[in-house]
Amino acid sequence: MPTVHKQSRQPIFKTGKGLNRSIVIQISEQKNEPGWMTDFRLRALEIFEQKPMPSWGADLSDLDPNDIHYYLKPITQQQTSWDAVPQDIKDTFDKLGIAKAEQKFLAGVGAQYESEVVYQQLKKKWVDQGVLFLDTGTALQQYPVLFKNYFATVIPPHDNKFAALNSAVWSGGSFVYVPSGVHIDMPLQAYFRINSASMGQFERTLIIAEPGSSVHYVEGCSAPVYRAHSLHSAVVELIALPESNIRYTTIQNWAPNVYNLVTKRAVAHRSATVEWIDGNFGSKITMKYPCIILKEEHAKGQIISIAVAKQHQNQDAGGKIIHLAPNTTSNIVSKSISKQGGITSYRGLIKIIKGAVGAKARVQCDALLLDAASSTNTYPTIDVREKDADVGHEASVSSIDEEQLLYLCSRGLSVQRARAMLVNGFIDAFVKELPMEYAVEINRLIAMEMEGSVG
Amino acid sequence: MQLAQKISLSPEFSESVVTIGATFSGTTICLADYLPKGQQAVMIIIERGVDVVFTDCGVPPVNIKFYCKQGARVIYLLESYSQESSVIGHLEWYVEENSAIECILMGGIVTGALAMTIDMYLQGIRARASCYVLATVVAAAQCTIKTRQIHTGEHTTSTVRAHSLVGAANFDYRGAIDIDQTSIHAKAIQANKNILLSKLGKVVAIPTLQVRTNKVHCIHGAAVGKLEPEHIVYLQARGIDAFRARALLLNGFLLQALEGASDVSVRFVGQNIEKLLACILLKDSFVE
Repeated sequence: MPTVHKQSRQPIFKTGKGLNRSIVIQISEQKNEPGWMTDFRLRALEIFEQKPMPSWGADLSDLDPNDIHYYLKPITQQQTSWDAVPQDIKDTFDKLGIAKAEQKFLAGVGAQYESEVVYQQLKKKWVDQGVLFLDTGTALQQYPVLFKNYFATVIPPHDNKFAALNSAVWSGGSFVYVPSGVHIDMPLQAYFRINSASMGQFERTLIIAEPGSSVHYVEGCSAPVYRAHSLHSAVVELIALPESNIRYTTIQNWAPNVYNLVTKRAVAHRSATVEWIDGNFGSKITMKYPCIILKEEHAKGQIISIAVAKQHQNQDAGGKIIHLAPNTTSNIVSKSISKQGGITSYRGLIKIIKGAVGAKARVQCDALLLDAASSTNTYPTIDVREKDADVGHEASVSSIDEEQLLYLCSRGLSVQRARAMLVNGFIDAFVKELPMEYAVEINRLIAMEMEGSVG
Repeated sequence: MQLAQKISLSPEFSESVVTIGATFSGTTICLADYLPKGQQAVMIIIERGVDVVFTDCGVPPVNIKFYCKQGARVIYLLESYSQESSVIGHLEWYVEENSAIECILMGGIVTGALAMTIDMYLQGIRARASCYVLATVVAAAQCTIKTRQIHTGEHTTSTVRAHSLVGAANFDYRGAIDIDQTSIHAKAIQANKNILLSKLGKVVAIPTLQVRTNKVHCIHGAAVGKLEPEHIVYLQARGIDAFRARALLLNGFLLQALEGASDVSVRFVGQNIEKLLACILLKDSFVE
């Protein structure tokens, strides 16, 4: 059982609880934003106020939008050296292994603490090739034309209530621009940390891959446990221009007091590939359905996700792929594990419009229930309006196979290790898509999760 | 004694109640002959151990509840064709310990609409329910099939297989598997396969699963595809003309739905499948 965290760093600026026009203007003023962005935020606030809370999915009735701080600035300015980051914040990211990982196998790192990115660095090799890896607020200041061309074009504020909320109060997140023909062969990583109680984190990430380029972006999320609820409501927009490749990996391990309500969407142009690799291990409630719009011919989309729900957790995740052009292909693989009364749900959509000739889509959802108190749900929608298309969906629900367990135990493994091994095998499709260092960590995490679940 | 005289109606129920006792075991009952005229809702109670086959004999599928008592075995063979009309039906099956119900629904919808809801409540230990839907949905038609497999008993088994051929029409399948915490060792299968024959056609499939216990085995699947031109060419190369080749392939696709069905059901489909296929083969369904 996680212990309740008591310490919290004093911020240099913090809005009061709740949300109104004045708070939105304060956030915009703090960031010294141009007038169009302030207007955009205020319009989004109106949309947020008009839209009702979702009546489907997980129960959000305990989430009180008036009991949350919407902006919290931890330090005066962002740093490009870990030595310049305040010691307590640096210690937090050190414990998470971010600095060590940066040296060993990452092309760049961004670290967001509360509402602002406190550290951002991109290796010189990629800076020299014209790659931009900035926090989103800095990108607005330094590259206003490029920013305005793409910002909110994939997820407009009226998309849903929480996209509107993010649009009104967004702060931090990553802006990645990969010039034409540049292949970033090491992942970029962003790490998001909520360290205060009753806090909302609303980062906004925008990734643009120019024609023929490729990038792998990895995000990690964590928070200490408080009694009060926190809210994480990000918006992530990916734009994969012709023949580019974007892979976006998320390892979410929020504390069990965090509501994780995220909107993620990508647009794939001609022959581009977008992949969402999505691991959901933490949070009280997650509602997240990464989407790929296959806009032009031969675009490809893939969503591979895993959700693990334990006691008092509800992982409502899934994926949406919309085929708008001929010869587009997509694949969704969703794995979920429920234990100790946890609830997992897959909610998905495959839509093939008329004219998307030769479109192919496959969906596979597998759920593993580790005890009788847990539950799982699958809610897929398949909407096909093109005769020359091929769509398949399959789902299964099962428990750990007793025969396989017996086989492993008869070869000298303890029940716990055998179960962990079988669960690792179950999620193999997800783990093998991760960089090696993360895959090892995920396997360890699963082994730890299996502790106490024997029987 | 006339069979009709043995059927008792009970006024306490809002629907009429028909009890099928041991006398009927081993018989085939034609619903058109034995149900009161104009009846829109009826509950049919099948007594313990009774083994009976129902055929619709042209009665449109109204609201029918089947209550299968312990050890009862029921097969319900239903054909429904709609042309410029709407047919709405609701079947509810309550399946007790060791009893089983199987239903064949053959639906040919030419220009009208068919909406069928089939709810299966598997309440007793080792209760079984199976539903096989074979549908052809032709021009300007709408077909909606909803199935719910609700397991509350232990060791219960349910199967739904719905195959459809869709022309310039809409086919909508909504399936739900719902397994309660009490229903350990339940098995549920739900499969929906569709072939879109016209560029003016549309298929929406929403097969859902809700499982609240771990000792279960559930699978569901949905697929939408086309009639492969290579397969037609293969048959043509062996001297079969395009029309017959198409008929053979569509016939095979529909018959695949019968995996696990009883001999009685397979015979019934075999006798009637040509009529079902004619709906789609003779109409201008193949808009390229």
